[in-house]
Amino acid sequence: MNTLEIQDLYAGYGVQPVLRGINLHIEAGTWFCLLGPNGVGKSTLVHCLSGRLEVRQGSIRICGHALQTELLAAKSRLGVACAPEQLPGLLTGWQCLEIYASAKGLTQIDPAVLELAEALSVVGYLDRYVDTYSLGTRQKVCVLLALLGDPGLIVLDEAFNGLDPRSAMLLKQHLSARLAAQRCSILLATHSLDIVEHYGDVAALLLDGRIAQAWTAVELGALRARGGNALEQALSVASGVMMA
Amino acid sequence: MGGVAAGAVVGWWRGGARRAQAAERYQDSRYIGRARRHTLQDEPSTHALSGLPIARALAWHRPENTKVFLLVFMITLPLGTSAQTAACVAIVGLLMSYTGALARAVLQTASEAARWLQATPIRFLAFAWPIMRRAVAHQVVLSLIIALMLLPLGAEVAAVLYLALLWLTLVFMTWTIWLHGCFQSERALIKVVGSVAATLGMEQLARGWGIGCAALWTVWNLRTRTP
Repeated sequence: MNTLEIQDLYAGYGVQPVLRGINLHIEAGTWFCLLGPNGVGKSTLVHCLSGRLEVRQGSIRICGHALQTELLAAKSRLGVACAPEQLPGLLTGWQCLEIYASAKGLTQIDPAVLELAEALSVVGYLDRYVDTYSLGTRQKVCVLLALLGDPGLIVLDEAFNGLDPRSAMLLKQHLSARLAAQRCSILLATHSLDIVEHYGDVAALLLDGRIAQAWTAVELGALRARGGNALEQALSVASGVMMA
Repeated sequence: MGGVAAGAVVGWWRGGARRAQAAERYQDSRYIGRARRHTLQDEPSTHALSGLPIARALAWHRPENTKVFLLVFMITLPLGTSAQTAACVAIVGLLMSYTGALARAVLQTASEAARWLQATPIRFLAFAWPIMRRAVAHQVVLSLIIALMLLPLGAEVAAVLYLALLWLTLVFMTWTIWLHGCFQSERALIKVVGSVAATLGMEQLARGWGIGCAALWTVWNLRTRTP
């Protein structure tokens, strides 16, 4: 089953087109890495998925529900980690979790999310106001919010930025465990080739609002097997950048 | 005297950057008191959203801002004003600045919360009502207190009650238009400006008509809808 199906998606800001005909599908249990230089539309795609940006043409289906016509059903299967600066500074971490859980229609905060909060050593901060948090702590809270309600599609935009190595590893392990249980799939917009190399099942390169190159699980496996900087080279070739 | 004035202006101007740095050194949460501790019995709710505009308004009234505001208010008093009147004016000034800051804080909270909660299946009333709930109560109570405090200063009962009602109508209408716009990811500024101008224009033509239409428009903006 596909947790995300995007067909011929066009979107942009004002008269400026950003996404120009994106086609994408992500199967359940897949870690999908979306790569690309700054400004090619990775965050714009995330904004379209979260409903913040209106789609001009094309369709998005989340866990079988069309975002344009079954908005509430689609969003109830979606978990998006917002940008750390979007967290309201005058709420505490607990209040953020409570509000988000309530907005998702939950009657309690998932025990799995609380366990992850404990593992990430963030529980001690949750009674404090968000504006006193470091970037890493904010980032952790954003990811915890995205995981509330056991979403079928988890969307992370540079969600490992600012995390210490231990927390990043714990989070990757937690996400891998969710994938192994086929409970969800992950769309990660990132610049980190390390994550693609070690955790990604499928990857795609976004250039000028289009998918310029996609790597299947088999192709990614072959690049991993070649070792060295094979992935970096493949990305450079796809981007049209000559490497020394 | 001229030298003192010039020196004061130069000193104030040169100290601007230092004051800005000092103001930025502290987070807003420093000015709003400690948050209630969470217990695991707490059920998820959007209740905490209602405290956000209040917290913003209180944080804005940090000493750095309040002292300037009070100073300006006090120097507008004519010489020979009694201490009682001066105190009354200062309190009214502070309350008016709080209601103004609160009016703005609801708009900021709406924009912030809409971006933050955009990816959730929250419905419009579940989003809008918690943000407005406590702010509405504060506006109503404080507008009445301000109206009552203006009476000893020589204002007419009918005039102050009318002004309080007009203020509340404009504020609630602006909030609902803005909340609706934020929820739908639409720009609402032109709609707000147009609605306020239309309300004031109608009030000029026939007193009460603008307020009545604005109240209906407010209720219309609160109708249930999916995002």
